[in-house]
Amino acid sequence: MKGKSLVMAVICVAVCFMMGSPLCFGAEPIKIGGIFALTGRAAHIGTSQRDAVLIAIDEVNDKGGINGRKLEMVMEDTESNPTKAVMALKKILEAEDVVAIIGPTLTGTAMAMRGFIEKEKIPAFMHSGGDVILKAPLKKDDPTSLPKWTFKSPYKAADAMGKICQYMNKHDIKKIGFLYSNEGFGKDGLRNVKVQAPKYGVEVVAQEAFAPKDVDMTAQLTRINAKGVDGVIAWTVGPAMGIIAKNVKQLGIKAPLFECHGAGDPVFWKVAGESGEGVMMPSTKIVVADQLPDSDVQKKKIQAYVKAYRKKFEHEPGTMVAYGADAAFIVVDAIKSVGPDRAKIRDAIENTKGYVGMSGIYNISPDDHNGLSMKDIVMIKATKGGWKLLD
Amino acid sequence: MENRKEYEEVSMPRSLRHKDVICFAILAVVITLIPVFVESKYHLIVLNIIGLNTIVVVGLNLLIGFAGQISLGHAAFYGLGSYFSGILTVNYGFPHWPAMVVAMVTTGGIAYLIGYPALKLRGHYLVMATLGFGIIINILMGELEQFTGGHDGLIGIPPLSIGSLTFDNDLKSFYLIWTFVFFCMLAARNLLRSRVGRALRAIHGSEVAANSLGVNTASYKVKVFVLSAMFASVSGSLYAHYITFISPSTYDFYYSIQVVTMVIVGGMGSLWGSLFGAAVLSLISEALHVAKQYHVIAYGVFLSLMLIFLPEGVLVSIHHFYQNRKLKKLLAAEKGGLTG
Repeated sequence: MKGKSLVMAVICVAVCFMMGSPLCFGAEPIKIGGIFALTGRAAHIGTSQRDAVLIAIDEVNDKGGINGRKLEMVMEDTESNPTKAVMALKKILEAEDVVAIIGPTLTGTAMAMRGFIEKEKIPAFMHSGGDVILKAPLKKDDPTSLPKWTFKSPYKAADAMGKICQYMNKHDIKKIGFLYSNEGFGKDGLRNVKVQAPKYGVEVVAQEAFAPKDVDMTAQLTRINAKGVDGVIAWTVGPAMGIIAKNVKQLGIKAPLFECHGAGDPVFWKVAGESGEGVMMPSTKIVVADQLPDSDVQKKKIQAYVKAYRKKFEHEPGTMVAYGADAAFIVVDAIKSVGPDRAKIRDAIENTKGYVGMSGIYNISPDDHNGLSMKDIVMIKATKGGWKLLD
Repeated sequence: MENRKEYEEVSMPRSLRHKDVICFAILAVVITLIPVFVESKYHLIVLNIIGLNTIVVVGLNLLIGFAGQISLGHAAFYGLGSYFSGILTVNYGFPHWPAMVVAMVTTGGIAYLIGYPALKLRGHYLVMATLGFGIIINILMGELEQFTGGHDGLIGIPPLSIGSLTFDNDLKSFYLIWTFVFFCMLAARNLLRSRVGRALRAIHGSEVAANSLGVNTASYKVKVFVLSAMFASVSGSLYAHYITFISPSTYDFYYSIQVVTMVIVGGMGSLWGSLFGAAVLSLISEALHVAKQYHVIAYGVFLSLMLIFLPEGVLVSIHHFYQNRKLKKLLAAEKGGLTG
């Protein structure tokens, strides 16, 4: 009796090992590293980007993987902290044979990782908003030392601001107030609005700052309103998006409110509630997929993706899901065409031309490691808990 | 002279000195040998971060464990070290080592300016002063864009080097950082075994009693505060040259809390506890990543349990436990001897 159970145990263990071994599933999986802000202040963005990448990987694997090999993501959390991001990168590079990195979420973490990515020579497709990760030279005294291995999927923040100003120009909004959170993202917005607004004949007559954790912006909005503005831009993500929308309604400010390109997310409705009605913002097309004209080349692809997303997570995707998905799909396409080789993947990504993605049409080149343009951005309006595509 | 020697021997039993020598010898051997067994860059970076934290925690422990004062602004001193080193080398082309010394001295000077008024007052005014100071410095890092690079951070900080040896990978940095850890701990140990150390212990025991015995408590407290800020600054400089990029979010309020927690977990007033606290907390926070996004909760639960059951810190608690057992055994033996 005792001998029998021992034999059984041995068989069980053997079977378990075989299940885990590549023998049962054919070739070994191809691994990519996913580094996201899953906790910390950017957790809501990081998790939705992770979900976006997971969908993309599921899709590839459902179709039989890449040349018969499954795709697998090794995931790490940056905790929204630059030091931890570097540690996460080294952990992934050390423990697994990854061919590319997707992420991270925050610009600060991306900046910290950038130097090490260049040193390790591994292609990285980042989701960070800040243009600085591509523009800032690696060595301070050498302006040509731009990153070779780093790419980013979200469109440039300057283009998003340009889109708003273009819309204002079209709708006869000439004098605006600019309200921004006093940290990296908000200040970047301030720099951009000063460049973009004059291009479209828009004048910034008032600028006000607030701390990211402030709970009331009526004072700033009152000062802006006193200047007789006919439009307000608020540049921030997180709870402040909602607070500003509420304050604008409470003060009875008639001038339309515009928010940043990160606002088009279900989170916006959570923080703004009914006051969110009528707020306008630049966004990727993913949140208004069904309203796109049939002539739009992205429409079918986005609709199919959104369907898969809804099925897996049972909620609507936000605007930032598009960035995660695009980064994943472009990397996957590169692996498909050149095989799991880091240097070749990098070259393939750099040669991506006319790729129809969720966020737009990517034309990546050695000079432009992002590849999107202002044409890819749409203006949307918050309506009845959802989004309406503006002309 | 004769007298003094006698006094030293009374106050510092020979066995204790031996024990310290052995401990430091073990530390030196472990530091030298670790890279033989650890090859992974990830493990090395974790060890390096532990080393950097240890330097800050050793300094902070001098303040908390011996002067009985808490600082919630050590992230700022750590950051000042990083930023002075970074700005001087990147923007002004300073050589690395002098920049590090300038950073250390300037940070010490700034700490003196804060500590001097705050520590004249009795009670925990230093906590308030450093809390505010930490937040102000963190804001300045983001606002003084022309110097600090603002929230985008300061890029391209060169790695440290001695002659032709450049500390540009994890292994070389490991030896560099842990050499600093070793000497910082040695310095702290020597300080504690000196007249200053005894004065600090007296202050920790009872400020009034120390005062009445002629110890200038205010002056000692300011000095130890300045010293602990300088430790943090050195660590910050090493961090900047190691990671080669710095941005304000590394030096936020959370980091100040983290190092205070390390002091408490390791054991207030315990030199080896500082090393232990820094190591345990850094390792736990990494190890808990297996719990995916729940690692934050797991970390919190772990800390709460630690503080409920081992409020004096792990190392100190273990030490007390053994001392108590010894005492009980002695008592039992004595009792047995009496009745028998």
